[in-house]
Amino acid sequence: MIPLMHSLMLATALFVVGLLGVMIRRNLLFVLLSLMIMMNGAILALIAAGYHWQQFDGQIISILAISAALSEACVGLALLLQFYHRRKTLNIDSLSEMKG
Amino acid sequence: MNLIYFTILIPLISFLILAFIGRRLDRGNLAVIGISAIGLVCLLSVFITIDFYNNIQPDSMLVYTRYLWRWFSVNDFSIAISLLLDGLSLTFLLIVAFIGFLVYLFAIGYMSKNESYIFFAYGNLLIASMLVLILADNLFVMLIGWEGVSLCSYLLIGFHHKQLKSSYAAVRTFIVMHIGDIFLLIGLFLIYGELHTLNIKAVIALATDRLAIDSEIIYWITLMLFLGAIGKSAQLPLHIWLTDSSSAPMPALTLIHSASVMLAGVYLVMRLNGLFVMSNDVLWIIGIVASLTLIFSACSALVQNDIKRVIAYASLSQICYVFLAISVQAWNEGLIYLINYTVFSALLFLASASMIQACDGERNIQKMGAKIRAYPFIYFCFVMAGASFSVVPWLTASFYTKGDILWATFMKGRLGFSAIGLVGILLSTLFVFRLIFILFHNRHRQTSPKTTKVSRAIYVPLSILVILSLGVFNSFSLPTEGFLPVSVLNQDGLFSFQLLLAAVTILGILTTYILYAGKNNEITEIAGSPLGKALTQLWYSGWRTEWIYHVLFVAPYLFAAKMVQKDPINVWLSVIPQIIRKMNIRIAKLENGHLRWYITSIVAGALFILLLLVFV
Repeated sequence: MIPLMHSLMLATALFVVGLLGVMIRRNLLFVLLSLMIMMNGAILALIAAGYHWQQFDGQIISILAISAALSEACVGLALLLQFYHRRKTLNIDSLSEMKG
Repeated sequence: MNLIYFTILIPLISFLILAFIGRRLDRGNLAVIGISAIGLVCLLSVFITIDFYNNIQPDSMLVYTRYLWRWFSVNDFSIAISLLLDGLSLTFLLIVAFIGFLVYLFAIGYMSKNESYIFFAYGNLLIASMLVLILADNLFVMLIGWEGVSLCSYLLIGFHHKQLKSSYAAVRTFIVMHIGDIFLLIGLFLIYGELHTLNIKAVIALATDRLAIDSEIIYWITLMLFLGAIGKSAQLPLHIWLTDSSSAPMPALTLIHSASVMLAGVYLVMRLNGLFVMSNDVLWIIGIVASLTLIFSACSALVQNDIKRVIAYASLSQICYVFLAISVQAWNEGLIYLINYTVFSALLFLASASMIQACDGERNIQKMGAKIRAYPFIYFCFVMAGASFSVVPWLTASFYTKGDILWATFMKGRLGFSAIGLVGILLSTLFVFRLIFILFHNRHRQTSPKTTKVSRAIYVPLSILVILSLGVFNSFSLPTEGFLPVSVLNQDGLFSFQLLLAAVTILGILTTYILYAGKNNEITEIAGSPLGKALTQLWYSGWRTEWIYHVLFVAPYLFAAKMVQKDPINVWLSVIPQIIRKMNIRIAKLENGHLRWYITSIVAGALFILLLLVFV
C-alpha cells in the first residue's frame, strides 16, 4: 500500500516540473509538453486521493480530465501548426506584439 | 409723515435717471434732475418736521413707524422693512437734507458738466443710502444703508478714477470702511445671539432687561459697534481713509465730511445709546480714542500745505468733540454740537473750494493767496468758519455747543478730557487762523498767482451757512426727549468757564497772529530748530501712520503673500501624484506581452496566496 503522501509528492513533483517547463522553455512545442506533464500531475493526484478514500469520483473525474487534456493538446497543436506556418519559428517570445 | 419713504425713493430715482441717461442730458436738465431730488427731500423733511411737531404731545415721546413690507422670514427670524421716525432720526434727516441741498447748490456753480452729472448721481445714491441708514428701524436694514454709504464714499473718492492716486485712495477707503463693517457685523451677530432680535427698539428694551450693566457681553457688543462706527466716522485707528480722500472734488468731500459719511458712525452710536450707557468701559474707550484723534488731527492740520488736507484734518479734529460728549454721556450736547459741526465744517469746505477755484486749481497754501479786496466775500466766509472752529465767544454757535460739551466733561469729573478739549480748541484756533493768515495776509509772496473769476452762484449756500453758524441759533431746542438720556448739568460756574474758553480762544488767535501774520520770523525759527523740524516732519506725514500701517499690515501681508506664492501645501500634495506616476511607469513596464513572464507572475502570485493560506 503506497501511502497517500508519497503519491501526492510525486504528483506535486510532476506538476512543478511541468510548471517550470512552461515558465522556462521558449519553444512552443515544449511548452505544450510541459502543460501535459502538469495535467498528468494533477490527474495523478486525483486518482491517488480517490483511491485513498475509496471514492471512485476521483477516477471518474480523472477520465474527464484526461479527455479535457487531450482536447487541449489538440487545440494547442493546431495553434502550433498555424503559428509555425506564419512565423516559421516556434519561439513563443516572438508572440509579444500585442503588449498585453 | 406717511410720505416718509419718498425721502429715500426720490434720490434713488434721480440716481437711476442720472446714471443711465445722464451723459446725454444738457447742463440745465442735469442740474434740475440732480437738485430737484434733494430739494424735494428737503421740502419733505420740512413737511415731516411740521407734522411731527403738530402731533407731539407734551411730556411724551413720539415714535412713528411706517411698515412697508416684509423683507424675508426664516422660521422665527423675520426682517421687516419699516421706517422709524423719532426725534433723533428727524434731526439727522434734516441735517442730511439741508446740508446736502446747500452742497448741491454750490456744486452747480462749481463743477463742469461732465463732472457734475457723475457727482449728482453718486451724491443722490449717497443721500439715499444715508437716509436708509437713518430711517431704518432694524439693524439689518440699517446695514443696507451702511454698505451703501461705503460704496458711495468709494465712488466719490475715486471720482477722478483715471488718476492712479485717486483710485488707490478709493480702494483704501473701501477696505478700511469694510474692516469697520466687519466689526459692526460681529456686533450685530452678538446682539442677535444674545437677544434674538435686531429691531432697534426691541434690542434696547431687551438689553436693559436682560443684560447686566458692565457685563462681559455688553462690553464686547458695544466695543464692536463702536469699532464699526469709527470706520465711518474716521476715528484714530481707522482714520486713514480720510486723509487720502483729498483727491475727490470739493463738493464730494463736503458731502462726505459734513452731510453723510462722518455722521453715520455718530448716528449709530446715538441710535444705540441704550446699549452704550450700559458699558462704562467702552464709554471711557470712546473718550480716549476721541482725545487721541483730536490731538493727532489738530497737530497734523497745523503743518499741512495742501489746503484739502488741512481742512480734512481740521474737520476730523472737530468731530472728535461729539465722541468726547458721548463718552461723558452728554448725548444732547453732542447732538446739538453735531448740527453745528456740519454747518461750520461745510462752510470751511465750501469757502476753501471757492478759494481753490479762485486760484485756478492751485492747492498749495504757500502758493495760493489772494487780495482781500478781490474776494471780500470768501474772506468773510473764511473768517466766520475760523471763528466757529476757534469758538469765538458769544458770536458763534460753536462757542455755546462746544463749551457745553467741555462743561459736561468738566462736571462729570473727566478733567483729562476737558484739558484735551481745551488744548484742541487752542490747536484748532492755531491751524484755522494759520490757514487764513497764510492765504490772505501773506505780504511776502513773490509771485501773485493767476486768479480767475468765481461764479456768483456760490453766494447763496455760503451765506446761508454763515448765518446758521451764528450764535443766535443756540436756543433752538431738539425734539430728542426720551430718545437720548438727558443729563441735567449744574450751571453754576458755567460763566467763568465760558470766560476761560474765551481766554483760550483769544490767546490762540493772538499767538497765531504773532506767529504767522508777522514777518514770519518766529514760525520759521521754531520750525527750523531741530525739535521743530522733527515735529513738523512727523505731523506733516500724519504722525507716520502710513509707515506704521505699512510695517504692521502691508509688509507682513506682502511677506506672507511671497511665502505662499510657491504654495508650500501644494508641494506636499503634489508628492502623491508623483509617486503614482512613478509607480505607473514601473508597472507599465511589466505589461510587455511575454507569455512566459505572465505565467511566472501568475505563479508567483498564486504561491504568495498559498503561503498566506498556509502560514497566516
